Amino acid sequence: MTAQTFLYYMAGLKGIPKRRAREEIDRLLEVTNLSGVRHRRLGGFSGGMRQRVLLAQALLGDPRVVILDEPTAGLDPKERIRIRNFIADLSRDRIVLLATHIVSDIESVSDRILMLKRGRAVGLDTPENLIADVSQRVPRSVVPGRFSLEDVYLYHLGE
Amino acid sequence: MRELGRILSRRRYLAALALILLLNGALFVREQQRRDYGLELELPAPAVFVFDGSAKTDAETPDARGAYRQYRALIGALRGDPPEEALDRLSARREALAEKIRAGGASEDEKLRYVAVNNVISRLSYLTGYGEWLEGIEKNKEDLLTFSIFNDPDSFSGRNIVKTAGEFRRLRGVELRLGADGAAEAVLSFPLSDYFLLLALLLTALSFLEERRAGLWSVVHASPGGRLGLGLKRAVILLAASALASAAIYGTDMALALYIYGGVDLTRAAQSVELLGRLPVLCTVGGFFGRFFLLRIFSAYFVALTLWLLLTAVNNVKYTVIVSAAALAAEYSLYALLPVQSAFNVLKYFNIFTYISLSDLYTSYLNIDLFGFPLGIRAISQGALPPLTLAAAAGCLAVQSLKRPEAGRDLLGRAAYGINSLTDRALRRLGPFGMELYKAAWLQKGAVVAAALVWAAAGLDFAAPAPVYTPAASAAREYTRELSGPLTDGTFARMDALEAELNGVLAARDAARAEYEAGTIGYPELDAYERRASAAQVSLEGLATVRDRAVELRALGEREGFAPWLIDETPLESVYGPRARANGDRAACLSVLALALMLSGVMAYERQSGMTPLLRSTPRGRRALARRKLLLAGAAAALVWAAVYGRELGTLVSVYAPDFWAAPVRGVSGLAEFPLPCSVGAALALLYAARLLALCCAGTAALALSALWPRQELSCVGAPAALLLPSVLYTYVGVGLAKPLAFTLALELTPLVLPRSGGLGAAALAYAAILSAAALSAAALLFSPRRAGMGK
Repeated sequence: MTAQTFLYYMAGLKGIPKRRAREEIDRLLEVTNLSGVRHRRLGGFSGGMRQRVLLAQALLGDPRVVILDEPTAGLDPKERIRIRNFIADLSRDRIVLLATHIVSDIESVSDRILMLKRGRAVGLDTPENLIADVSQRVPRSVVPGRFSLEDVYLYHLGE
Repeated sequence: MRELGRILSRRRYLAALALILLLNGALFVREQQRRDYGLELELPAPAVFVFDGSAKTDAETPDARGAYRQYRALIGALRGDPPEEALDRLSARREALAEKIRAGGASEDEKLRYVAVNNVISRLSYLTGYGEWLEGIEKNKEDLLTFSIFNDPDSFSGRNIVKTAGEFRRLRGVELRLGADGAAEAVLSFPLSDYFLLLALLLTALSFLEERRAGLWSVVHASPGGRLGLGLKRAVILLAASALASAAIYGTDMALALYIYGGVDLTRAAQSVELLGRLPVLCTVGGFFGRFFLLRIFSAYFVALTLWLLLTAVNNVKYTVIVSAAALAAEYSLYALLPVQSAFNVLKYFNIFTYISLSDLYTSYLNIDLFGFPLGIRAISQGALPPLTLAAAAGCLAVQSLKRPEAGRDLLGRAAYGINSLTDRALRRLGPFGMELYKAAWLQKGAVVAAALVWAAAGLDFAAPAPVYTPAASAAREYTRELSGPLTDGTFARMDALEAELNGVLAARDAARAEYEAGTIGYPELDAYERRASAAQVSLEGLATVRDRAVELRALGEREGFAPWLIDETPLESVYGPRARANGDRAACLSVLALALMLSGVMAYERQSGMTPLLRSTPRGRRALARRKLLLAGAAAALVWAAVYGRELGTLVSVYAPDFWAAPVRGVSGLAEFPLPCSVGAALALLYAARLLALCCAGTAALALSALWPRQELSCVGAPAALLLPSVLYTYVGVGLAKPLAFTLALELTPLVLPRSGGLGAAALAYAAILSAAALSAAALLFSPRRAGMGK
């Protein structure tokens, strides 16, 4: 089926009324930059395009809590920034749980970061506090220059 | 060769080829049974009535296989005899056997011998008449050329007449000999093999698209050996595939034909085989098959190259099959629909399908008009084959070498996008159930299955012969039909009147005898009275049978408290009686197969695409979705029920008057044990409703089975096999252990309406089994504890 039909199908499964579904689908296709290919079959989509369709369907119905698993994987840098900005806008009035290994995504959109290692939480705080915490634990001689979230990642989650 | 290894390592390809061979063999054997092994089986028996909506004569059908054995033995015995002498001898023997059969005193063996003799006479008539036929062509030429419209030497008509006579003149003096040609005719009369070969070649050509589907075309094309070198290897592979597929498919046909029919004398003139009577080429039967087989291989190669060219001409692999199918459909339309002689007939014979259906080139003689010159279709096809093959090969190599993966505008893609935008407008109006219907019908090709079902159901025969074997029984059936309706005093009065009329004929015969004795009338007049009296005697016997039945029904009605009807039960017996069992089995198997194919992809499609966790995460994607899918199964069951059993019911409705349906069910001998005291119409409505329920249950089971497989292709084989195999094993192979799972038993009306037939227990058991399966399936679908993410 085409991207548009798929979104209408998912809107139906989520119980969204048709008129509202139409408006939301038009908006989400615009945001995810899929308006120009809305009538193309999903089988002809690249990996990144499929990612964006899935993101669009996740956002149908204006959910209060959105869980995103690697939403920018497979996207080119321009698309990644676009989606990142969109997620940041979303997070203003809803909870967004973003699971990713791409540190640059986190530091640009996240208010709080939860780090999990083998199912156990090893850190839960704002990005700034996490960086400050690690900077106090690791000597300057080991990590010269300013600490970043990547250092935090390596400290907590590296082998 | 690595390319060959790559193709042969694809299990699906090998499995498909094996399936093609198996199907070809099975259908070939079945076709021989269907065509009665090429024999005319009619016996000179008294007329009996076969219900097909109108009375028609049909004798009991002798065993075709046994008849062929006798036929073959007779041909062997006649070897060396002059055909004219053999013809005279056999004609006398045939007449003697016919007399015996008409008198009712012939044994089974004698009936088979009659069929054998009759068919050998037919062959001998052809052989002895062939010379005369050839002379007739020459004479025809002389006669036609005297007409002005034909004798213009520059016109097609004139040239055609001369050419035809000239070509058949070569056959003058050809010596035709009698032989058992069953095997030869069977191989030449089975066009399905041509299409199985086409399918095998198509699968081979499709394997060349693998790199496109895998997204590796650019990589392959960029390699030095990935263009012309690869193209040449593939051209050689196609040649080998054409030869091997032709050998396998037609070799199978020939081997089976030789097994069924015995050997063929290959040294005889080809025209000795009646099918080749119009072949104006002097050669032996062996020589003909040698040429035919060679031409088969090379024409298959041309077809394979053409398919490869079509499939690779389009960049986008999504559209290759559609474009190729459209091109083949266009070619087939030209081949099938263009008249034999027309301004465009060159498009009919310069056509890929001419090279697919080769037998037509040898079994019919035809010249077409090419700019006023007659040209034989065989000459055209044979002559055009080498240049066409070279052109196709060159085209394929050019595409393989020069066509770049990413070059060119995607015109088809744009066209498809435009079409999709129109269909999306319609699809967005669909509700949740509408979307499930769209997915099942369009995305999972359920509509194709439905179309095939309607086509197959149209070929089903629901009326089995309901013969009678004596003239009195035939008369009884006629009188029953005439007197059908509520059984009243009026009915008995009509019977009395008919009886009186017939007794009058007998009395007139007695009076005529007296007059003949007295010499007042001659023998011819007496003979006329005797004949009429003889017929009246038979009618009286028939009428007496009807009266007995009427009296029995009246007594039954008084005993059980219903108003009896006299009913012609022939149509009911024809559609629901024991002789209709084979028809019922076929219809039931078709129904279950179609239903399973329509629904087998429903759940598997979602698993394969990874959609299951996504759907189950939505509010209406769990039980509500399962309920919609169950409703879909019900809709599919209703469609199958209407297509198959609607035709069955229609067969009866077209025969009986509307008021027949109000007749009490207990007055019909075939339905006498129906548990409810209701009308015939109500009883049949209940039984058909029970069938619909059984189909809904089968549909539910098919849905549940489709959830077991991770891929649609596996589900489309597994689910129908699981549902249908026990029925096939029990019905056609006789495996008793499969009985409890033979769902088709639940669809058959016969055991339910004729409990005395002993099948009620089996039908009830099957019904209980299918209901239980449906209940479990529905429960599994609705209340499955599987969490989203499991079953990937």
